[in-house]
Amino acid sequence: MGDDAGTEMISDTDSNAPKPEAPEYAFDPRDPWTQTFQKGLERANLQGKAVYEVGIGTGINAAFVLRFCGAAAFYGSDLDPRLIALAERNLISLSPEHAELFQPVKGAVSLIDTDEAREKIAKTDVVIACLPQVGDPNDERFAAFREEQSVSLPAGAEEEAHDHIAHYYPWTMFDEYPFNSVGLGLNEALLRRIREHAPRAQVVMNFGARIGTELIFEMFRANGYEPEKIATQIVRQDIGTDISFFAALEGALQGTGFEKEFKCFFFADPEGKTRLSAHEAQRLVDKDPDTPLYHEVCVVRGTPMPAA
Amino acid sequence: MHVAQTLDCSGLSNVPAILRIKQALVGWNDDVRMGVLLGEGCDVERITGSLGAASSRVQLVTATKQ
Ligand SMILES: C[S@@+](CC[C@H](N)C(=O)[O-])C[C@H]1O[C@@H](n2cnc3c(N)ncnc32)[C@H](O)[C@@H]1O
Repeated sequence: MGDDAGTEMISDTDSNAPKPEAPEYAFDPRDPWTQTFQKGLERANLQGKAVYEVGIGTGINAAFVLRFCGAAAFYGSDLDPRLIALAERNLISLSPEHAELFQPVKGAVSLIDTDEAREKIAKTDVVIACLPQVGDPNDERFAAFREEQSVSLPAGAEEEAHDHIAHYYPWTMFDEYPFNSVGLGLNEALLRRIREHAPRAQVVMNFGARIGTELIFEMFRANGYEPEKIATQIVRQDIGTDISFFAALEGALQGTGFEKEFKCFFFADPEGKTRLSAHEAQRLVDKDPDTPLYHEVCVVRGTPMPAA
Repeated sequence: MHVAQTLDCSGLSNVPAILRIKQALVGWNDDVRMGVLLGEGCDVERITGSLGAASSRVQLVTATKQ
């Protein structure tokens, strides 16, 4: 952990360098999740490759990959259509000499669900994404499950921040995907689409490993990708993000005989030494909402396995 | 009893499969049993046991190895 040597960050390489424009509706480009993601992107051999980012945010990764990783082209899209224009502006200010290599798909695009997005995905070598892995606290079916586990929603968790869709996904909408049961429905939906439209493309995805890396790897293998962890870092749990989702997963296993086989991975310290289950973590924040909690963020590269 | 709709749990190991079944049972209409397709890696007996009384509400089927 903490091996920052050699890692360049577009926002901190030089204090005089232009800063990205980061309005409230966009995921904060200085967030440690994005730092971890960029460590993984650096190690992903993107030189000369065509890269597509699903969920482009501020465009910080587009600028990073074109500037520091030597990608030959960068496509991207987002569910929030405002982010495309923002990413274009950021690219022009952060890395003007690469601006023409950035070819985003305009409009609101969920995953790669438009013809233009699929056409670009078909030309892509590596698809990158950091998509939400927590069910929306306001999702009705998810709320019913949470209530059955007697896990209550912390005060204020139902209020939507400006960048709500950067943190949560509509859980019921992705319930056809089996790994939705552990919060990976949106990510599994993306893997299935890539497998169909770009069967040879690698994927590089960023995860909060609060459910453990093993389940994330299981999802990759179940969808035809061999997983490999290429970067990892312990980060502070985002204070605004509701963790009752994870407590509800643990609660549902009580009395099943499987409760010992699954406990979420939270930590009480930034070194990741003192492990806490989601229940223990929830109890601490219920007592004091400012209690710092930590968890691992990791970047997983998936390489398509030959079809069975 | 009529068996409705198959819940796809293929690819899931025991823990995420149990979670998926329990999530799907919330608000499930008890006049019909829920068909559940389990992956090869799942232990059907342990899963049935883990569901307790709710096991009568589901019909577990395993994807067969060829
Ligand atoms: C956690 S932020 C990551 C932003 C950026 N990729 C980064 O690493 O800094 C997640 C992004 O995914 C977008 N997003 C959420 N759901 C999406 C979906 N169904 N399809 C495409 N993008 C989505 C959000 O709008 C947000 O920009």
